[in-house]
Amino acid sequence: VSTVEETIQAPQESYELTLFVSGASDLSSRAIAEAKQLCEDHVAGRYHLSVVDVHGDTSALRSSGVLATPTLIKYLPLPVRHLVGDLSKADWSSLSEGAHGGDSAEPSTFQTAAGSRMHSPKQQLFPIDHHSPDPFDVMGGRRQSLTPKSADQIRMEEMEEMLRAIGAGEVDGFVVTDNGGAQQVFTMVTADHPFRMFVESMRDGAATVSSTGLILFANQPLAHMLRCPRETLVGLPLSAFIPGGGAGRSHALLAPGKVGVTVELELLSVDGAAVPVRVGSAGLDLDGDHLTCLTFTDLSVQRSQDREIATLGKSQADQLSHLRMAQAALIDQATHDPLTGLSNRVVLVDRIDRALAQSERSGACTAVLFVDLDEFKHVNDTQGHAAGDSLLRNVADTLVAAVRSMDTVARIGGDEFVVLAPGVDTEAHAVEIGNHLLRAFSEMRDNEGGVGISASIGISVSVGGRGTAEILLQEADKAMYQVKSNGGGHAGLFDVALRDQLEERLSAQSVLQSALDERRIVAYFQPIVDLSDGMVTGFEALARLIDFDGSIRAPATFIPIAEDTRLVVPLGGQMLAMACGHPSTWDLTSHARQPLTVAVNVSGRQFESGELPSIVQNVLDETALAAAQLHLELVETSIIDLHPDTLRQLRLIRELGVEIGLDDFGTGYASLTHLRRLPLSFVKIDRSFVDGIDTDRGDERIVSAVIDLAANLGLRSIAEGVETPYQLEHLRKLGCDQAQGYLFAKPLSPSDVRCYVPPSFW
Amino acid sequence: MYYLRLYVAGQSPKSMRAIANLKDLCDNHLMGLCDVEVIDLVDSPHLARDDEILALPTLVLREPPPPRKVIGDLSDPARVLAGLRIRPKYES
Repeated sequence: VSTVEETIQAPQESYELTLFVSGASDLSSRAIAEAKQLCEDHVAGRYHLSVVDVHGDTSALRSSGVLATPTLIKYLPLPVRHLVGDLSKADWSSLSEGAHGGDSAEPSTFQTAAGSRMHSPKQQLFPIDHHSPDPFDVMGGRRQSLTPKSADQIRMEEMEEMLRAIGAGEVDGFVVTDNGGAQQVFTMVTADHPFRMFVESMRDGAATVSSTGLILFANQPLAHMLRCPRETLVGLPLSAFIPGGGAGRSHALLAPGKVGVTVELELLSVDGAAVPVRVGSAGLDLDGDHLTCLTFTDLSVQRSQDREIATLGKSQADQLSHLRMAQAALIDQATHDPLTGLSNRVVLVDRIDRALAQSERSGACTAVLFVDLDEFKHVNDTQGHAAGDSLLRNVADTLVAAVRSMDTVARIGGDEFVVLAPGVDTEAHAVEIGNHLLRAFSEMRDNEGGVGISASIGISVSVGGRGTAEILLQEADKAMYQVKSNGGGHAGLFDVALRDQLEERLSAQSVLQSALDERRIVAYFQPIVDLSDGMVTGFEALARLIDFDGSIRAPATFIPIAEDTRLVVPLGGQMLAMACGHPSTWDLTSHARQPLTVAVNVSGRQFESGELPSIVQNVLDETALAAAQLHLELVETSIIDLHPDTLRQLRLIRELGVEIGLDDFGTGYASLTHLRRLPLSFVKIDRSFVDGIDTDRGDERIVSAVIDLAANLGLRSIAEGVETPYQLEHLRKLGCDQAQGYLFAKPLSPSDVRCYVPPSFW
Repeated sequence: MYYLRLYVAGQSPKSMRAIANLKDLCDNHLMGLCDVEVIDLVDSPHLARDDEILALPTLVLREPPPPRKVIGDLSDPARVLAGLRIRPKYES
């Protein structure tokens, strides 16, 4: 086969032709020349001609469907036309016929070059060999292009094809390459996005089926019902899932006159299980296609319950029905907040994860808005819990009314609400939603005659399904705290700076967690001295973290993170157990009171389980420490929101004989009422006041007042952070009972405690 | 054997329709003698580079050469076959 290298410009309406020849015969050479001439005469500059040599390759000959050579086939424009034989006598019109606006569905016609046209059942002319590896492969022979296309030409043809497809409405996605060479896909999903979200969030199965019975779309619940991946379902005939004459039944279901009816039938899942379903149908005419939308309600649960009931007597059936109601109530409790009726955290996390999975597919954004009420505690404190509850219900109603029906509103804590808004466009859109919620709060305040509340909203946005529910909630929470620290009352987005902070925090958290797991938190001890005679009365246990490199980290580097992450609970437990084990090893007979006490810090979070008294009792039992030797120090800030159960636990602990004191007194906001209600034995004066006692008259007066107050309440006063002999002297004059600080000793390792000798100032 | 690649944009309506039409085409016109790979560019947009994809859905005939492209939802089997230079099946 001779090859002619030639590039021909092909503007619109280009012709695609293939000439089948056999070997390098004269006939073949002539056919090539004639075919080329034929094209030049009629569609010069608008054709692409290929030549396939089928010589010696009978399978290629057979599979190409060409009986004789030479045969010229015109593939484009449609319809396909064939010319067989001597091309010099060929009539071009028989090739081009029907090319313009011709019906492509019309069966191809064949004409011999001599002019006798045959309309035929084509199988007679071109028997198809089903055993052939490729019964239709016209490229089975050696193919050579007479008119190789330039890259530009190919690109132009592709552009034409694209414009045609866009014009015909067959395209709904585009690939855009940015300057950096990265591809991005844009889809036209916005129009039907809410609908899709709805269909996906349905519990029932749903499918769109073509008029020929093929499944065009299936939602996840249907895929689950049929135990078949959704991608596989698309394109399969619905009848494949209807056993016994499925085709008939599915066609009956899809017949235009039958839409709107509900039938019950059994589907056959791919693993062979029968799934009883109720099928509802609705017709949909889209772009001239008649489609049917079907919903499938799984009846298996109901069926099995019906069977159960049928086998029971009436009284048992009644019992069963009660049980079922109780079960439903339990499910409701497990998924809803009883006060507001909103979804709870369990449901929220599930919905966020679903929305993320959805936006991973659609590329849309998912926004999580963390809404925290400003000054809600104040409402509870001043107007009582009933007013607080009523306000929370109003807030819930306001949020539900303000969001779209596809959004989820959940209450996940006292005054903490979360709005999940799937399918937002941008981060700016998410902030708009936040501002919209704030406006709704302000309208609520106006409607209630000024009674209401403002809120701080933190927003996290996931693009294309980034992250998990927990990450988004954490980010939104962090953003909310940022808003609060800037005065509250507005909406703020989780940004890069916050992300860095969060990552830092997460890493600090994991460092602390591993330190706890590996028992690298140890207790150091700082002596507490009686100011009347300089005798050591006991030690305060202080946590130290031993790093991997052996360096020792002070509590300021890990206690705040422990408080934030609740790791303070295991940390407090370890410290308590360690501290209580030490006093029996101390032997400070000459400078110390006997028995020596040990003070351990307790966080407010350690009361949350309600089991602190029994934990303390167990530690005392295990270490054989006398209860009177153990002192627990509460941070003042941890008991501001004094819960009745915390008070109960403190009283139980006091009844054991353990003494309880208030740490860092003066730095928090504990009211005097608290001081009276708590079963306290001592208060500790914060080092910040002691620091200024010899330079700041104000600090001196505060220290003096605290000492007097403690004395009046029958409590010991213990000064912290004493560093100079002058401070010591001052505190003694003011009547302070005890003191600790670098003047006496830094916190000591357990081995240093044994040989500790206090300096003498007495 | 035809080696076909269908590039889609996630579960967009046209992409879903193209998948359904292609399955139909393979079963009824190509007697199942095709190896179809569906590539979701929403998941992996960089794969658009291989075949220089611009619009979605796009069907590419990778083998036998030369490569051919048909853009759209493949709703007209005759046009798709012609676009791919595959001889249509003749009905009796």
